[in-house]
Amino acid sequence: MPKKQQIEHTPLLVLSLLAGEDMYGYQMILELARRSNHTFDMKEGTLYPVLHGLEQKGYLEAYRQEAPTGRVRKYYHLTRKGGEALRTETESWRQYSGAVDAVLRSSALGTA
Amino acid sequence: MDRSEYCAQVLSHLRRLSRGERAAVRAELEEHIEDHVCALLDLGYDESLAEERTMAAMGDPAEVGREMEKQYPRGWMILGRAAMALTLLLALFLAGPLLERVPAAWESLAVRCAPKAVLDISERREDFDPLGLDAWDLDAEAVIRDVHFRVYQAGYDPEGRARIAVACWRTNPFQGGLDYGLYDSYSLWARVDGEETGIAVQTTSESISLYGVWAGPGQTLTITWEVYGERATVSITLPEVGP
Repeated sequence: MPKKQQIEHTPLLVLSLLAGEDMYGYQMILELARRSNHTFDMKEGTLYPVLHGLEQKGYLEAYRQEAPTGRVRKYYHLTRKGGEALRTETESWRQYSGAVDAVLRSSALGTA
Repeated sequence: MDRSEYCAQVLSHLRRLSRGERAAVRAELEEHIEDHVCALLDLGYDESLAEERTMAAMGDPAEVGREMEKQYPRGWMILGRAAMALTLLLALFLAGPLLERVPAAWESLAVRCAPKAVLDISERREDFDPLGLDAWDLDAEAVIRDVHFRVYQAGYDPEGRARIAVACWRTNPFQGGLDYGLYDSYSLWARVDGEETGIAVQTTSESISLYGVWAGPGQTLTITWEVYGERATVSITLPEVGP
């Protein structure tokens, strides 16, 4: 089990989650934990500033709808602008993680 | 800390948000807390423990509030709106002289679209009522280009002579719609039952005139105006005695 870590790329993860379907806040927390095998265990309240920030930028749109639980919830929807941001940020993240991986691999070879 | 206290602490940091936005944030947090508590209750937690665990999972309300506040750059928005308001005021100040023309422009438009309503002869009767109570109101009109001629009153003097009040004005869209002064003089004459016994040719630029003519009830007065080299005529049958 990997050590739980502080999420630094929550906006990217939220955009990624919403690329598949519209979700409400608690649903995102559950889905994020499930997909990361509970690696990303964020404080749940901190999700909302991220959501509202993305909404302010026009990356997300919100609407109210009845959830499967029967309760009305605020759902978030990825906009076209948000989709473009997701593609850009995903590419940046891949370049960054690739660079970190390359450094780690070279260090491992040096210490072998 | 219960959910109410948690939400209150988050909201205490939201100074830039409107009342509606704050209510929406509170509702969303309460809904999230409710979802989490219900999930724990389904797992067999008792109510107080479920609430306690949920509050712990939500994190520091002060941090949530501060981060939420950052997402609403209302200060810049207010500055932007103030700049827009100043620009609007400046534009109004500069457009002041133009605004003074608005009533004239409105009258001009009305003259073009509904001339009958604007050229209501009753106002002229109030302004200039030469024949008084012993007169009949008429509204016979002749138009030559932008000049309107109206016979708006008729009556008889004690000597039995017919009296007619005649008005004249231009519809001038560049001078407030109506122009009671003519730049060019016009001519007027009248016949009684086709005979040249009415009004001899008069040349004037008066906007309102009173003429006397030897004619009686039942006789037809044919008045002709000439201006801009064009003529227009109206015929009125003089009314019976008594208004």
